[in-house]
Amino acid sequence: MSANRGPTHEWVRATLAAWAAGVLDPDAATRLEQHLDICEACRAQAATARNPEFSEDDGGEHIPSSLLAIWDRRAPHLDGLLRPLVARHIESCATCRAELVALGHDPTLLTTVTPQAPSAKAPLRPDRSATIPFPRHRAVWSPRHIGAAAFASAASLIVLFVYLKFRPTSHPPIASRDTTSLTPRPRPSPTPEVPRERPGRPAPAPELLALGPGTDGATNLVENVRQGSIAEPPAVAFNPETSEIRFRPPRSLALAAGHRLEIDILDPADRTVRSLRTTLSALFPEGAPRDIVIRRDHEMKPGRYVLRFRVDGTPPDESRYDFELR
Amino acid sequence: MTEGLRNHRREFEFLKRRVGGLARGRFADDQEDVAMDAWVRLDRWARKGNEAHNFEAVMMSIAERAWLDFLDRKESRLKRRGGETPIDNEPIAALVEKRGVDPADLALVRFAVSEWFRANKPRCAALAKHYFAGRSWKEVSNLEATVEGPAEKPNSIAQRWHRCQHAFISAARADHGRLAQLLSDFEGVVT
Repeated sequence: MSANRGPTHEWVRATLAAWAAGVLDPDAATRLEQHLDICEACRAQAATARNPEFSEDDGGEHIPSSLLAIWDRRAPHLDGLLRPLVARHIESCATCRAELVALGHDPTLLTTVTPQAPSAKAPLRPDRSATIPFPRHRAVWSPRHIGAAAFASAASLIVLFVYLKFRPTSHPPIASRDTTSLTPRPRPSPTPEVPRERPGRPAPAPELLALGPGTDGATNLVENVRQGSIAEPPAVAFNPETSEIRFRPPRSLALAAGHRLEIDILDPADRTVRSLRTTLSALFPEGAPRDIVIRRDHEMKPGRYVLRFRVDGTPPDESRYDFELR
Repeated sequence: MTEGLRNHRREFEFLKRRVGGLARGRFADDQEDVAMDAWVRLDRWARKGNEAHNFEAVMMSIAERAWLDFLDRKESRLKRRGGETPIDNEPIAALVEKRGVDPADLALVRFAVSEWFRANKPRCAALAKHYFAGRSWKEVSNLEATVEGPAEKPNSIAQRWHRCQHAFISAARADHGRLAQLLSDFEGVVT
């Protein structure tokens, strides 16, 4: 790029990120802005880059939304100067904390997990081939991988077919087994409800079982780590031995406006069969959700119910979750 | 729907469905992440007190923006690995608008700039806010004139901004983490 001829479009487009981030050298920024004055196409790109509608960075005011979305996987790997900056922001920004909680993430993750110590002389420009910016991302599949996967799938199908055809018949199928008070679900599910039975060994009946809202046949066991977020419903568990319904209120409630809270269980005819009037502070002592246990009696027959949370804020907030007693 | 109840779960389910529709079966593992990203954007939009007659249209726009940003990120990461790998026989490059900027990297650097200024140079943080809002120094000067009496000249504000930039870049260069890496990427294309 010559100073006499002015910057090329390619140079301008490659430079837009640094310019939009405010880290472009002043001389280069001047050249770029002079080009933007005369080039409509580049100006349009610059406008999109600098201030896009519904952008993920919110003008640098908050932690980028893309980072919050994968917080549980990304935060432990934040390093260098970025880590204390993010930790500082989380401490001071109630909005970002509330959003993390709503997504079911732990805002304190950054302060409780120590990143791997960098080597004594870490290079300023690390080898990109060795870095994994997003740990969960998979490698791109090549045709060889796809072929291997297809072969493995075909082999699995053959094994499954042979097993189904010649399996021992001494044990009844899962659906007809007695699972204490749990009755078979009305609809078949793609997700196995109970642990798969091994031939020759009866599978134990699950003690605690919960169904997610609106997801026919989906099973959420109580150890689900993200229960109660907007992505995952609160797990409602029924213990047949003690006849207790246990649930943990969704953590998204912690950021609902208001003070008083009504928790109701409604039967299929929308009649209230259980009701609890409480406060958010009682439900979230020291910020952590408290388990609620309800003793089941003869009124609560097997069937689908609705768990309703209502907060008396302005406007009032209401969340409903379906669950099923068996 | 800002006039009615906000139901985070319902919003999330809507966004997830919309992202699923845009994805048309691709990137199944990433769709929930994109929907979460979109929900955070929606939450920030709503917290600013924005009103909309058609809240679903806003949610759809946000889901689409989040999806495009996701594709942008995918494309730029594939490029970094040196591949033009098509996914489902459809090059990602053909799906996204050409912006030349990785939105995730840009967002991270902008956040780092703002937060570093808030921690170390509060006066620079105010300038960064104006800069990221796309205001010219002349506009900033006029704005300050109306708020704080006699205005600082645009050139003087620009020089102050350059000093802020210099302070941040020096601190970031001394870093050995992801921020330094991003900065060197940005500088690599400039020089």
